[in-house]
Amino acid sequence: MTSFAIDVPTALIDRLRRGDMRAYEQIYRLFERPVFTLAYRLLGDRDEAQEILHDAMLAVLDKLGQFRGEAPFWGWLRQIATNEALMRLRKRKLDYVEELPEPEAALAHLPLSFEAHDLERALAGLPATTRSVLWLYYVEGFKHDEIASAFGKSLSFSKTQVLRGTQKLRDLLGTGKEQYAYA
Amino acid sequence: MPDEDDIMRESSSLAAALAALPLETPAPGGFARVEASLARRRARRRLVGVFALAASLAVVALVPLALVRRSAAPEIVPPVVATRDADADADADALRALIEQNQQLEAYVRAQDEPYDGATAYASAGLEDLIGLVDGELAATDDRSAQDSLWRQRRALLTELVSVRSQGVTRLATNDAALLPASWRLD
Repeated sequence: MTSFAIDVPTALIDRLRRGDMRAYEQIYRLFERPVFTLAYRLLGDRDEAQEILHDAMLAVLDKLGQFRGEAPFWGWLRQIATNEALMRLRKRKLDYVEELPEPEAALAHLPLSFEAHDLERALAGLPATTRSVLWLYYVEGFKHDEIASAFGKSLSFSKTQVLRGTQKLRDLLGTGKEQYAYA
Repeated sequence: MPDEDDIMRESSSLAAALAALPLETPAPGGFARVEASLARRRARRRLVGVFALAASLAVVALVPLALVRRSAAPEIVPPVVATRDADADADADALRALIEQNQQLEAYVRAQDEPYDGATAYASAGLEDLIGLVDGELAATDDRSAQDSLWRQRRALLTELVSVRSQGVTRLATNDAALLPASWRLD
């Protein structure tokens, strides 16, 4: 379940539309950790995540006129943050188009005995693009077509990244001997 | 090669494990930085507004000045030389040369694009005002020596005007910006 799923009262959004800075601060406080976490998971860098939080929150004011209220506010804000982070990822160009090797072994069940820090470390061992796709797919609940659209790629790109990324993540968690070659 | 069914079977446990990771906490002071960015944006808008207003006022002031200057400007035709005295001829040639230089500079200014920003328009308007004052003095004097001095001043002002309009950003505009309240200045 995404940490973004916070109901924002319509009255608060109305105050924001009227330029009420206290309403803006309330919304900032509500979403600063979800936005920062999303950006950090996608980019793997705290400084860049901080910048994404800053830029995304400014973009909320810039684009507020485009928010029609037909979908939840949190979903709209999450899309802004996702776009900002992926734009940053695109600028890196380094591992954006990297290919993961084809998994050779059949999938075993995910070991569930690992600690949170093991999972953190395994995530950090994934290429940024793969980590981003996995995070959007598993945690934020994006569908393959939504991921493909966000990355400007094909549907098979998303499916392949999920498939191979899951295998890679499992490998990193399972053996504990991986050297995190993509870090 | 695992298939999608395998992925689906374990996806729920993986999704749960990932979602259970604690939220990350950003560095403190983030909202203050956002507020500072908003303040800078507002200052930038105000500054642009100030320069736009200054440019508008300059245009308003300049139009009548330009009309006065046009009507009061001295004949650009070189002055008639009354005597055949060699010194007088030399003076007349020097004055004619000055006038021609002024004409060339004026033609150059006319050929330049209009100022593209408020700061340049503001600085240009100030210089054009000064040129208008010189023109007024030129129209009011018959003294050859004074005319010579005034045409030189006019040439210097026109040269500065050409420079201001071609460079865009000017010392005058910079100095004016420095006089603005600190809260209006950009970092």
